[in-house]
Amino acid sequence: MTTQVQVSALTKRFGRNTVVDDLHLQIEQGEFLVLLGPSGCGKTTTLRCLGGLETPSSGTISFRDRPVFDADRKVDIAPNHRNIGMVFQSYALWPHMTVRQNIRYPLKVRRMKKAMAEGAVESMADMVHCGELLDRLPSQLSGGQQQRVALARGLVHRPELVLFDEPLSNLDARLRDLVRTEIHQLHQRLGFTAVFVTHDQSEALALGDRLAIMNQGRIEQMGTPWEVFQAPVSEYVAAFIGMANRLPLVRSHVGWQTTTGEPVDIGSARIGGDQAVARLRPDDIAVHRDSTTVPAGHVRLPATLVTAEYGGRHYDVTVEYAGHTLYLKSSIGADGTWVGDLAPGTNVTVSFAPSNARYYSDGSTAVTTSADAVTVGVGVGVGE
Amino acid sequence: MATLFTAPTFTQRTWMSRIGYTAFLLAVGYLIVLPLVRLQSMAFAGNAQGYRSALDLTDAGEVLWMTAALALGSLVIALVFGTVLAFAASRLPPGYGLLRAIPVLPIVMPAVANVVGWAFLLSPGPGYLNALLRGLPWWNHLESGPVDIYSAPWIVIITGFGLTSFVYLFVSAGIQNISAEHLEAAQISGSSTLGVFFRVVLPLLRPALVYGGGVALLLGLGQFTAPLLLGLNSGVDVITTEMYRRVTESPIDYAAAAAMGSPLVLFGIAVVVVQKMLLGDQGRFVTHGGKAFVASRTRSPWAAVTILVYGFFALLLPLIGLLIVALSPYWSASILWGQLGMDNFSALFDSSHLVQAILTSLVASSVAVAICLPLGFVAATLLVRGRRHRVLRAIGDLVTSLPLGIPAVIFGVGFLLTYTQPPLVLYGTKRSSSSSMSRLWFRSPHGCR
Repeated sequence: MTTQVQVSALTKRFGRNTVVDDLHLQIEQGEFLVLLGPSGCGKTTTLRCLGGLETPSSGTISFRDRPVFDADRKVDIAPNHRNIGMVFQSYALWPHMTVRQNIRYPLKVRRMKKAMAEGAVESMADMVHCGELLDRLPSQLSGGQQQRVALARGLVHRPELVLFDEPLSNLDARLRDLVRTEIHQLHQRLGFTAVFVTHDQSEALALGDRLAIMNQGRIEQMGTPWEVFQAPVSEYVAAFIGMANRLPLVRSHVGWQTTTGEPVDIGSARIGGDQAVARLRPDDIAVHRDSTTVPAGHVRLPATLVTAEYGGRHYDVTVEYAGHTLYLKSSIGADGTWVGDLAPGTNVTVSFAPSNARYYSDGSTAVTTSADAVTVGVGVGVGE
Repeated sequence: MATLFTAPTFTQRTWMSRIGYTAFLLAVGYLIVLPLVRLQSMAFAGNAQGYRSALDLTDAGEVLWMTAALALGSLVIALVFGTVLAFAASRLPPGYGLLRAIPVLPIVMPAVANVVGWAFLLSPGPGYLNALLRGLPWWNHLESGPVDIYSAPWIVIITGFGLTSFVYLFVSAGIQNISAEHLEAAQISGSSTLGVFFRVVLPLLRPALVYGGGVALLLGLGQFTAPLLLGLNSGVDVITTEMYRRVTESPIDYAAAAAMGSPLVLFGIAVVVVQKMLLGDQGRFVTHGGKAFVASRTRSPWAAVTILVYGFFALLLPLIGLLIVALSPYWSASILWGQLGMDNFSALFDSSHLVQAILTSLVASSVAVAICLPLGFVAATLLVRGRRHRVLRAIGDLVTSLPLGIPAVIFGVGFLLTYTQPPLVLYGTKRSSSSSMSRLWFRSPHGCR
């Protein structure tokens, strides 16, 4: 595989505020990289720096060994000379042009007459299922259709790099899934190199060949979706990747236990100090009428029901345990819908398998997780 | 428990607002349409004597040609400058926001002061700038010039400078409504800054350009100050100066003046209709994508330089010209630095007329604003929210657009002819100037758009 994009020591400051901080990144040809993180983590600024829409304060960016930005050598290639495509959150279709004119625009201004003559516009429109809409104005299209046209416009000139700036956030839930799948299929079919910015973990997991979880302008963890999902290196990443439940632990003379004294076997995880945090996904916690049905070896916690919302094949259950709110997904199995019948305030028992949790030092900088941990990061509480 | 009072039903509310809007439109229609009707009836009186007299004018064709040339020439200048300035204002670096006001300031400066200021600078003989330019090696043989402010091209240029502010106002509002992402998408797609401007910004500004251009064209057609003050000596006549001559020089001929104004009124109405046709489906120009709207982020120091250069030429230079002459005992090509003083100001303030004139202007303006605001609000409400009253809304749209198509001088004559007679006699009172100014409010609905 050849390296398509190389980013070294990229830093972007707005006044005194450092938004991107000494970022290093290597994107292979044909790779689909997702930058994932909350608002203000620097992911969009990184994307805009790649596109030339923002001038970095320092560092270098190269496309196939050709520097497009080098602060020391005063190289800063304008966006229109970078051979990139971009899909925006607001679609950014030009309302005075038809769909055909919108898609043709990159070919026209780049004088790619051969591609136009060979029907690149029409075939690209067909590929995004907009072949019938070529003579319409954007105002006559639905949100999903507009974003498909924007996608065609971003890909039609076969750019070296395609940038996606939260392109699905303006769409409703159903359309979002549909367009996401279409982007995935297009990537498989065309093999373009892409950087996709999102704050939605399901988008990131579905689309990315690799994910970069960003925090305060730095990459907190980089890996395949499986690596990141299975072994988040810090509490920050764990929280962002869906481990919404935070359970404080304390070390006693017999080992680790919850604040109410339930022992927790943290396995091979190595944690310094006497305070730790367990992070858990909602579907890794079970709810029971009483403690008798809790499987052996599971951690059992006495809790009070706050609410149970029906979700089709499961209930979204919220319970309170020792002053902490825990969220869990309870499957509707053979024993029916009993959780939904409970009144708020009812005492229940919740449990989890200790091996399903991830363990982190509480608030410390040195975090060591269980055996499959990849690297060391910063333990910051997020998603409380 | 039975209620004594019940809230009006939806139908009742609709009828109440319909009656209210009808009364409003009748009153406004009376104020706007009556002066025009009065003018036309006068022009057609006595077997259309007014029109006969107007057509008898030996150089009628030349006057019409000059009027069109002044309007179109100044329109082109105003469109180019106004658009460039608005584009520059959208790209000002942080901390330079105040510069956005500069292109609007010429509106605040009275046209008379501006034109006279330019005359002091570019009069072929004693004009200060001309005297400076004659110092250049390739012009040092000239005795006068090189610029003749009294010639037709320069009258067009000065008028265009004055109209630039109006185009700027409309276009900068239009530019602010273009999302940055639309411009960035064009840049990423391969367009240079110029390409983005011509392929995306200009087409998206079509409503603002059509509207601002329409207003500038109508104002250009009705231009009076520059042609009268600068064109009198060189024989540059336009319709408005001819009308002015007819109502001020003996024998006074109101009917002919009224007839001469007719092409302007017809053209004005045509411009308003064409504006509406050109804009059509407004959806073609809307880039607001809802929550993802981002204003332009591109910043350039050249934007500040562009606005400052314009401010220097359009605002500062004529002011400097005025100031030097005001401080000098008399006007000559060389500035008498040793004799500059406040004598002219002292003489002026000694006159009680000045204080009275300032007071009258202030009172009239305040009354006009007090009348304009509520009327403008009602009109805007009808146009923007009155979807239930289609017919009233269409009439309101037409009536409030009409004053745009009618030059001030025609309105002035119309007001004079109408309100010197019962039932509403305003002539000679402060009320009349307030009434004249109240036509300003008719622009507020367009501002709202």
